[in-house]
Amino acid sequence: MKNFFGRPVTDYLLSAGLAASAAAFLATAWGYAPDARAFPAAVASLLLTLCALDLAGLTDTAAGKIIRKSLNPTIKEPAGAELSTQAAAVLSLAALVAALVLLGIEIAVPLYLITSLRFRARRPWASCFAIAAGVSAAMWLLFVAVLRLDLYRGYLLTRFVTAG
Amino acid sequence: MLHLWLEGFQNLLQARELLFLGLGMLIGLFFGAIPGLGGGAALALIAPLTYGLEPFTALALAGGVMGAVPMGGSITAILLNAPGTAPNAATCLDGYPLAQQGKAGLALGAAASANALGGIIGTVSVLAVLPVAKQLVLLFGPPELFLLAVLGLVIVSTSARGRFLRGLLTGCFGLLISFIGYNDITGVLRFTGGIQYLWDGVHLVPALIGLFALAEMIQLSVSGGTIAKGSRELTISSMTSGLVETFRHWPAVLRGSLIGTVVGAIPGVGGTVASFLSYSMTARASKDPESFGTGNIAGVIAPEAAINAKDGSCLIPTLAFGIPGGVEMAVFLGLLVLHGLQPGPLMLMNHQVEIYGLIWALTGACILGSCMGLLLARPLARLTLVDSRVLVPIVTTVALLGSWAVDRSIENVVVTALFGILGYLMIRLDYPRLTLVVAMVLGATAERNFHQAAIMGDGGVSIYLHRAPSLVLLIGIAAVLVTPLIRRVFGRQRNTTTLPEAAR
Repeated sequence: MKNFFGRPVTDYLLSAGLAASAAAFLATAWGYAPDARAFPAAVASLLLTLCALDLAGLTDTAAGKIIRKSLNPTIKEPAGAELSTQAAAVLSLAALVAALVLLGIEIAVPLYLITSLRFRARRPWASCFAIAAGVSAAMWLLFVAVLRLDLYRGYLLTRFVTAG
Repeated sequence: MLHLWLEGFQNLLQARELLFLGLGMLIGLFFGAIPGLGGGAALALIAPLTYGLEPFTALALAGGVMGAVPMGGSITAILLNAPGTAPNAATCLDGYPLAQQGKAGLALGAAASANALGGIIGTVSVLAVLPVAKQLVLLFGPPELFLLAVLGLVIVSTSARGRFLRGLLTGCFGLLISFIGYNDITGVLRFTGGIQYLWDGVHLVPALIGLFALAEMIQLSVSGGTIAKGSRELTISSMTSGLVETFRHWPAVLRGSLIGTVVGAIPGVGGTVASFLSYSMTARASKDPESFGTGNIAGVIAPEAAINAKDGSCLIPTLAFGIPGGVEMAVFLGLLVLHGLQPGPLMLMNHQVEIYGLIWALTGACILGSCMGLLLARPLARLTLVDSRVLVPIVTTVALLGSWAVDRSIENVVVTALFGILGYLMIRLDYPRLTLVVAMVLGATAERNFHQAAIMGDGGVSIYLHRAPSLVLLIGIAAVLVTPLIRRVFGRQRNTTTLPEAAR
């Protein structure tokens, strides 16, 4: 892991991301009428300042230690976890979201459950199918039978199958 | 007032309301028993499912959840040393040693009865304070409401123990998120990036589901194993003796309930402070303080009474001013908004029957949830031994479907996932999520009242100095900001206890 001022680069990730968002809000706010931008611009400017302080406080420098001690004295060091494990957890979530958007709820839910339970949890096929069927049935009962909602059918299905 | 109180009770006694109250208790026990999830995640998950329900029915469901979560948390705290919710961590200190001595039943019985009594005392306090709160809120106009929102944010930021800077930082980010969408004061669409879905702003409930339920699932997926690390024996013996012990230790019940009630009414302080404060004060008052931590039953009773008493008083700032007392209340605010009940001064005027119904539901859930918790102690505790690789896909799926169901918008699913990743990063890098949520809830109110106050004061800020309530609030904000600095200067900063993750 690359270090920056004595700390892993990933430790700066969130604060830097928030600073970037604040800068984007500030730049966008400038295009609005004075009334509409007054409050957001003030908050975005404050957030930029706070992010700068937080980023400085993360560094292993004398100034960083002073900031940390006075403004963030009890922050915990991130617990050790493999980057690949974290990426896998996030990618698995992204895959489910993509499947829901593209394939719809009825296909994505059982597909995701079966693949997750089989390939990540290493459960027997029968158990995977049983759990997926149980969750899908509960979902159908609640949304379709009780709440009378039409389940989302997915972009691909709506665009190509229904249109065709 | 009495007729409103009775009307609220009568409304709750309808079959449908009772059914949803019972369902809420089951959900609350279930989520309370799973460490890391707790009341915030449970409410976030059920909120979209209440779509289409009558507001009163939804409140009965939410009351059931909120009243039963602490009991669910006590079960795993006592049996497995794994507190289901952060405040239950104090119960572990003596509850788990009792379970190790084969007295799990005694501890569970005491926890259940202390929970129920604490809940009742907390409710009575709310009922006593609500009429006064109504008179108080009539004094509040736009300048006061703006300052109140600022005060809420500052209190929550400073209560992010030892992470003041980060509390303010995530609070400001929450405010920025709340500015997205159509601004009804200026009539301008802001920060939508041309995305039509964002015209209504970032939808609160999908964001909350992401920040709490999904973030915890990512965290669990990364840490692996089971929620209760390692498998443990589950031995539960006689529980009725616990009930007798609770009445024998009535000063601990009373002390815990009073601490819970007072602490719960202060926004942002939360149940963890209440339970630990109650525990330490009971230990200090005891003739045998050395026995605390080794299996003293008073060490179970005191925090449990405080936890449920806090639930009732948390409603005061939440309903009267729209300032949530903690994470659970912040999510509850989202649920109220979803049902068209805008928390704040007007809610106390226009929705009194719903408020009293909610209080009844909460009280009922405290008592019945404790009984139900005792019956379900063993199967609930087993949930914590389920492999995370099985639990995570199921809960993740339910969370995303719940988010979609809010208004049947697939964009909600994307928002939930994005907030889930943000929430995970916040847990991992130790940024408080509570301030982000509170700011997202209060942001729009703060801006609207800021503009209205500016119009009232002809653009000047002197209006804040000429009104007595405003001046009091300004002094309050200054005091909250300056107190930690003064404490540090005089070297009275106490060593803060490292809190469980769910408290953060």
